Amino acid sequence: MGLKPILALGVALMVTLAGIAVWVGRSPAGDGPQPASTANHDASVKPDVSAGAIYTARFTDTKSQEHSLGEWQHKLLLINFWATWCGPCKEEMPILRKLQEKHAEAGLQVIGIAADSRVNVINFAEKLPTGYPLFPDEGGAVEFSKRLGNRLGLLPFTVIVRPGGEVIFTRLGTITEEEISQLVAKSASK
Amino acid sequence: MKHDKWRGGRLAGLLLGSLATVAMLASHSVSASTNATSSEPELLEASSAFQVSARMVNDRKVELRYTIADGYYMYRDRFHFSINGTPIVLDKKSWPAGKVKQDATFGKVVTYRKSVRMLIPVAALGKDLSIKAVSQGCADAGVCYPPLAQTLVMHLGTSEWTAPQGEVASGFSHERPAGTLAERLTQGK
Repeated sequence: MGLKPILALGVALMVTLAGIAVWVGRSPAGDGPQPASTANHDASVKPDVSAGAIYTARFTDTKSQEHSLGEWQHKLLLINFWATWCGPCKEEMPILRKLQEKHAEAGLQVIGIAADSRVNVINFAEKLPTGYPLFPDEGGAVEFSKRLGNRLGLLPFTVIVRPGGEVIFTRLGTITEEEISQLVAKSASK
Repeated sequence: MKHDKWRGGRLAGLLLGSLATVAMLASHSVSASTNATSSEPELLEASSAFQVSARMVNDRKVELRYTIADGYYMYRDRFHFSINGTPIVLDKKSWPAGKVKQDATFGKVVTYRKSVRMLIPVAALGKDLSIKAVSQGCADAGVCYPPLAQTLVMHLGTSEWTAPQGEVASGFSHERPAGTLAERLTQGK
């Protein structure tokens, strides 16, 4: 065999492999069917939503006050997706409350978007006040979380948005106080 | 000629080395896209974690059976059924015992693992039978699935059930917001 055919074959294989590498390295938020997920994502999960779309989202809190996420566009915004039927979600809520209290001055704002009924969320908040706003959106919360990278729509799911709209953290499953505190400190130092 | 063969071998070796590098990059790309997840257990799609099937017990009852994957559990009080659009309320005394968990909101809740069966009363078999089964469960990995609605259909004159068709249920709300968050996003409201 001459050298040219070997060279051509090698280049073709390399291009193919490089293409495969790019393809498999796409964001998990892509459209293709994917058989399974894992319990933790990280900042490498690129949400399929722009800063503008995040900040123009509007919803109603438990006191019937309508809000837009844009109200917190200058904050480090932690969006926690949860539901009263989700045990792990409720277990991490004291952590979220503590984080809100601890880092409010550093610019952290926690909000909870519930894939649950308004009645359930109000009853829950009366029993266990969170200290941060709760927004019941039974029909839309899971859908919105999927656009932020929550492929299977499971709960709890947490997203942190830097001032300006960049998503810097996503987590499927519970967060820890330490990791979020570190992230807040890192963000505040920038 | 000997020299050409040597050059050819060296070139082939170079190409193989390059290919190995590209392959390593490809594999790194895979791990990068799922970074920090490799040690975590994989999560199943809801319809795989909670598999439902049906069979006629007699001309008055249908048995629904949920096969629950290892590491997953389902809530007794999150099951809701309807037959041909009519809600069916099951007597809780007829449910299997299950395991009691303490919940911050709902107090004592009953959960099932491995499998759970329930008998659904059927009024008449004069037409196709469509059972809509809404269920909800969680994984020990620390996440919960949204309510899942699965529909099983048995056509009149047959004893075969269609494969369950699943979808995420909108939940069990008594009231609905005026437009979902996603709709409001799309509409830019």
